Amino acid sequence: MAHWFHRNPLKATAPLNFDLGRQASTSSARKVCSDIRVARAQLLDLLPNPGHDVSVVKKASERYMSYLEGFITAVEDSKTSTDQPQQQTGEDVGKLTLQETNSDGAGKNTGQSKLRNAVKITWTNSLGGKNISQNDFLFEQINMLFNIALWLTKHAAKLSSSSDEISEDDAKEVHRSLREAAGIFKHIEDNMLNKLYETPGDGCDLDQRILSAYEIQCKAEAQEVTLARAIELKHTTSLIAALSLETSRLFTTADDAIKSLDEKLVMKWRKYFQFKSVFYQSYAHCYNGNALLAKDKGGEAVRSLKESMALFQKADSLAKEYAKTKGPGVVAKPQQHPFFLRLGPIVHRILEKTERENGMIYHEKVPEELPEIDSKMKFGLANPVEYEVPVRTPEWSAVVYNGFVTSPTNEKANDKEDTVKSVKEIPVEETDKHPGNTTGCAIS
Amino acid sequence: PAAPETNPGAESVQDGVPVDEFGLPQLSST
Repeated sequence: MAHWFHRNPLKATAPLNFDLGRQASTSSARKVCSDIRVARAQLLDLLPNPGHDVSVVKKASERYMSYLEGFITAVEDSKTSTDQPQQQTGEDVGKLTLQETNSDGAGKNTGQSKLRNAVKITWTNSLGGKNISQNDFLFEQINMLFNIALWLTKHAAKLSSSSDEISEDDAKEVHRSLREAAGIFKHIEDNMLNKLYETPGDGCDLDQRILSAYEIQCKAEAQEVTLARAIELKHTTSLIAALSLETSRLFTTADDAIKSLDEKLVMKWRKYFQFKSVFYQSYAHCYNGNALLAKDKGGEAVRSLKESMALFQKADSLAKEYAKTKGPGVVAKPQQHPFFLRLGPIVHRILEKTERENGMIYHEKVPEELPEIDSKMKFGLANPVEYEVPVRTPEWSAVVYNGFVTSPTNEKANDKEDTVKSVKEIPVEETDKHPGNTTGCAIS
Repeated sequence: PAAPETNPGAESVQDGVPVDEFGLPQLSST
């Protein structure tokens, strides 16, 4: 099937070899650096392919994050200063440089790691523009999590683009992947951004407006999955109308979140949001018209369906504008998607039927005012899955941490511009085959 | 063992209605 989801590119990053030079003064300290370098490379190798199993990416992500944690928060053991030295052997002996004191024991510490600012880290932005750099491992954690969330959205798009009608388990995975991605974006927004030393610039990925747009997009697209399921399972027309309306509102909110940003960066993405918002408004009024007709309200039903038809035509124009607008991303082709293609004839047929029945049976005047959709029914709304930061790896012992020796000269900022190679992503395949179900969606 | 508090197959309950993993009301199988 044609792409139904717009996807911005993955973020690329400059190589990070965790070579801390003389700061890693013991073999165990150097081993942690070597291990995290491998963990980062393995994770980055996985992300360009959206077809990987979620568990594989999650495992690699957890491994990397569990190492990274020791570069962000201090590793201490309250007994270290008195008990630990005698356990050390060889070159580890005599290298204790414990600096932080605000912890209550290993693993529970909230103090900053002395290594947090040790190296410069550079990432590209998913929407393009100037690269972003900071000497901060928290910045690294945020950007890597951001990329993992992007991968989850691409994995969902990959599963949903299958030419065959996919299983319920796959549909659940698409739904969950999108909610997990939303949870990661939310976690970055709520719990991480305010801990950065440097405020991210306008229009970069860590701009609150962009993070918010991504989070809302994920929730809205998860609801699209639910909506397709609701239609396939023939849930009530009023439930479908209410869920369509809520989904339309989410896409509008995502569009509003980024409207103050540079058009060159976001206009294509915004057109996608606008298209989806109007499309689901059309869907909402189509189903509301059906619900009104079932209640013998012929005039109001005609009014709703006329609105649905007008909105469908507007969605068609927006899809064309989206296709023409330049910008980053894997481009959705909504006008070629059966979910879109089938709505027009459906609205047309139901409108004709409703006008005929109103003329022959109900004889009601078609009101000027658009009938409201009862959106009190809140079934099928998608909530983000809360992201939990992996626990620091046990390899980060106080002894290992104390094997790192920092000095002011080690923390000099590196102003050299890093070269970043873009990521060669494996594209989500599309086919001309359409599933033979009600919605034309592979998700049911 | 204690009797289960939810209907079989129901993921959770919303507004007194058992819902599936997508948050949609559980449909009867008949």
